[in-house]
Amino acid sequence: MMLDSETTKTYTRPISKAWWLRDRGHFNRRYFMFLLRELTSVFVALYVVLFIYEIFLLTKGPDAHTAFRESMSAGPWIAFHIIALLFALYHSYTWLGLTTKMQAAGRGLVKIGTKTLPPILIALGSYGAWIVATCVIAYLFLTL
Amino acid sequence: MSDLRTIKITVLRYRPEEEDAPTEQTYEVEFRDDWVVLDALNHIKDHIDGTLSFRWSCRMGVCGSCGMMVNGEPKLTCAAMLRDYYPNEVRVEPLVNFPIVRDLVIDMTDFMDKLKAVKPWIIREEEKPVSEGEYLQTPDQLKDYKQFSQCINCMLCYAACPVYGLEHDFVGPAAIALGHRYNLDSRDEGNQQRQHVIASKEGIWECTYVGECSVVCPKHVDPAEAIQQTKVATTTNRFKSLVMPWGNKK
Ligand code: SF4
Ligand code: FES
Repeated sequence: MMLDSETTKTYTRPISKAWWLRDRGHFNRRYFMFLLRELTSVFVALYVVLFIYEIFLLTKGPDAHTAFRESMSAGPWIAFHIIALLFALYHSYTWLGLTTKMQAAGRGLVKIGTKTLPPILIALGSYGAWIVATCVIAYLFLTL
Repeated sequence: MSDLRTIKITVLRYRPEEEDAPTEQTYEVEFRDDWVVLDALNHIKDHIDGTLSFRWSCRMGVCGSCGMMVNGEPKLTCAAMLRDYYPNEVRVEPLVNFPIVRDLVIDMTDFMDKLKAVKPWIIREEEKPVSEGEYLQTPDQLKDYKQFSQCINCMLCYAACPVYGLEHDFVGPAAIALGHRYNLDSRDEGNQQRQHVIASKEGIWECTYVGECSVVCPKHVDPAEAIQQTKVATTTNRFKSLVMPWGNKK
């Protein structure tokens, strides 16, 4: 039915600010996990700011940097780093998992000839690349 | 057969000529084991309260007109078995994210406008005369878009999408999936005509990938997948036209 929205009286329900927690009396786990994924970006951003600050301190000489490193061993900072790490892992994992979405059986984007590459290969490829990149960066940091 | 049980059905009522905001009404319905929520609504309308308004038609998951919120989830009421909710109460509300016209009936004008905007039909630069026969397609080419063509326009995905709820300009899951369906069709040449709607800020880039549209879709269209595929395709096309501006395709 098409309505003349100008002349028909309709009622628009307000959306609760906490829609991701309780929507019409029901908890929707997927809404919550989605918001958590969005929230992870805040922690990743905070970590990046801290990291840039650390690089900046390097230009101020070894003492400033050592003092910074020592202050980082305080409990709250360790907790922050653990949370940031978990969030970064969660974000990367779910983000890379999306790569399978290009690829559902028979109608994917990545094809060889007319055959669609199975989604699982795309996912494994992305996760593989992620792990390799992480190892390379870790190697550079730990050895240089 | 005496397999009758009684279930409580609470329905959101809105009678615009009488009230300014919706109210609730609870009915007690004796139901048989094979009854769906829509059967209960029809029972109420036929035997208890003839003033209750709602939409339905096929009663078999094809027409897409009986979508409502059942206990907070967007459902085709002709496919939601009462026995799955019993002994708990069932709450029926009109699909969220749409204005209510009356009781369980929503105003779908916005969705219809968006559907039209993506031009969900085959576009040819030049139609060939009928005498030259039909446009042929291989089974492989059909497979590319078949899933996205199963949409019944039930709008459950719009009710499930918090982005659409918060941002009404969002073209939304089903309309994008249907535009994508025609973009993937080997007979179609309308990709560029759809791009300014689909690949716009209000199109695919509004989607933050909650993914709930695909969860509630009764036809397994997987609109979230259509949106992600379009994001990738649009980005690669843009990149290609930057690097090889001469190689533009329709
Ligand atoms: S994509 Fe699925 S949920 Fe959305 S309108 Fe089409 S059939 Fe309904
Ligand atoms: S009545 Fe047609 S889909 Fe439910």
